[in-house]
Amino acid sequence: MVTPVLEVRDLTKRYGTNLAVDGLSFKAEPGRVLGFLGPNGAGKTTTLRMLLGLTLPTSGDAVVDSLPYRLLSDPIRVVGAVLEGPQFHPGRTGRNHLRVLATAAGLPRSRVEEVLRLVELEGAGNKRVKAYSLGMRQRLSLAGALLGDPRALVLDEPANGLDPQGIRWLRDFLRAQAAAGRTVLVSSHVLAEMAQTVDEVVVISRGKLVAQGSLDELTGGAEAPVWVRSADPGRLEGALAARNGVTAEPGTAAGGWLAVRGASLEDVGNTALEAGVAVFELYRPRQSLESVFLELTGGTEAGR
Amino acid sequence: MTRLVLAELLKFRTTRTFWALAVSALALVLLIVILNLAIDDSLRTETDVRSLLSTAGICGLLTLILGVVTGAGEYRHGTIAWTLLVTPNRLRAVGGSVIACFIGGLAIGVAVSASTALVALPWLSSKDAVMPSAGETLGIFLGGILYGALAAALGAAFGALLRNQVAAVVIVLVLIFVVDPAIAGLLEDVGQFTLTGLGIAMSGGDNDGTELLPLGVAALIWALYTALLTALAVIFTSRRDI
Repeated sequence: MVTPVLEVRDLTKRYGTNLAVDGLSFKAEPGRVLGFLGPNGAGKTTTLRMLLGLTLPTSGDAVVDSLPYRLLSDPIRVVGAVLEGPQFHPGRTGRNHLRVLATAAGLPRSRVEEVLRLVELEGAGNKRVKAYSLGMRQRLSLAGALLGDPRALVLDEPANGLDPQGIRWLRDFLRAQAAAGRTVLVSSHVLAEMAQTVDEVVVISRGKLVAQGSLDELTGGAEAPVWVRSADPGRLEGALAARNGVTAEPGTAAGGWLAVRGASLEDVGNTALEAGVAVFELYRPRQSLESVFLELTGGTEAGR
Repeated sequence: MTRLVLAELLKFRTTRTFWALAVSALALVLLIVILNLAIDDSLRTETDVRSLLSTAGICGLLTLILGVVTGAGEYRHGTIAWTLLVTPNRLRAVGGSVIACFIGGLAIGVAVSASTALVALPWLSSKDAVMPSAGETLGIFLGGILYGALAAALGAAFGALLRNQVAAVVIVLVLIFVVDPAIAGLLEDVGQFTLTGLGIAMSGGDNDGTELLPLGVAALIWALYTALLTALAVIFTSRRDI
């Protein structure tokens, strides 16, 4: 089965005079976790719901491998979705909820037990959903998303209500899904968590794209100098200066620090090794995703 | 479509609403039948007996409510999003719910009609009541079953169209108990095309002297109403945000 590309092209959604999504375009590729960030009310949920065929775009396209979700013949096997604030019939059990979905999708009941185990809900499967905590509902929602063993995941705030162990489980799970070649598109407001989970980020504010790229690109990692503290800064400075396009300057603080530009961490480490200089510390400072996010979105609700 | 209908039937089996309405329909009909049978003087003529046997048709009102609650309940509980994520084709989604309600209503109709027959027929026989022919009796029961099934299907389509569960139930009750009798009173010829007129025609109930359509025609018109509401529900569900 081919892993789908999730794509949004010039997508616009207008509610009366309110422009919820404004000409948004981005693409989520197989094998990558794409983080979808934005302040509350920025249009993230509306965008994801348009991608899932639950909300109609005013204009533009939201497609799964060039097809609108509504035209997918067996969508549960293609895209698994977690909606924000998932809703369930309170009188049905978690297991029954999944069995209904499995029956509608033509999946065996054994798959229900598998996903209940996967989200660690097998013990609560026979409880009515009204007795579930927020975290348990979120896990049940994830179980529903995973039911068809889909090749792509669209998750809207999946970490909501999860405890720290649950969040860690989710992070590892999403990384594993991407490593297995699946397409993962995930929105979240827990930026520290996103920074550890995603490969790329799309940031929107007031329905518009404000930034897109890898975490390195966004947090300025590529432009920031590499800092190195060594046993012999003078010799290392000379060795680094001999390399094309690399500059090294002593830091203002004491302790033998050098600020190196035009070189990667690997370049600096290898140069020090070749020069026979012991390295004590080596790092590239970067902005946190949170500070980049606040800078891009104005740091206020809905980016206003 | 079969998978979707099976899923909808699984919802019925595992929620209390279906069982509560099924038991209510059974209890209500049996209560009326038993009370009527217990009062000796109430069953003098064949018309009285026919009227008694058609009591099973009352379940049509309850299956109509069942359908409305089912169709609109998806929106009330927000489970429509799950349904449409698995079955994004709106025609299949709404159609599956309508067919499942038809089957659920059919099951309730069968249970109520069979129970009525089991209680009433031996009792009537022991009272030497003037019975309609076997064919007529069978027609009354089959009409009641068909009414139960079609009523549930129409209710499901109406619920899916309106989405607001309380409003949909209130509108249906107002139609049945206020609008239909008013139309029948004011426009006798039109009364036979109302939901109540068609329901009585199908279940073989007492027509109070007003003209009724033949069972088959009444069922066909009811099915057309259902098809129209289903088509509207599909169109609106396709054009609305969930």
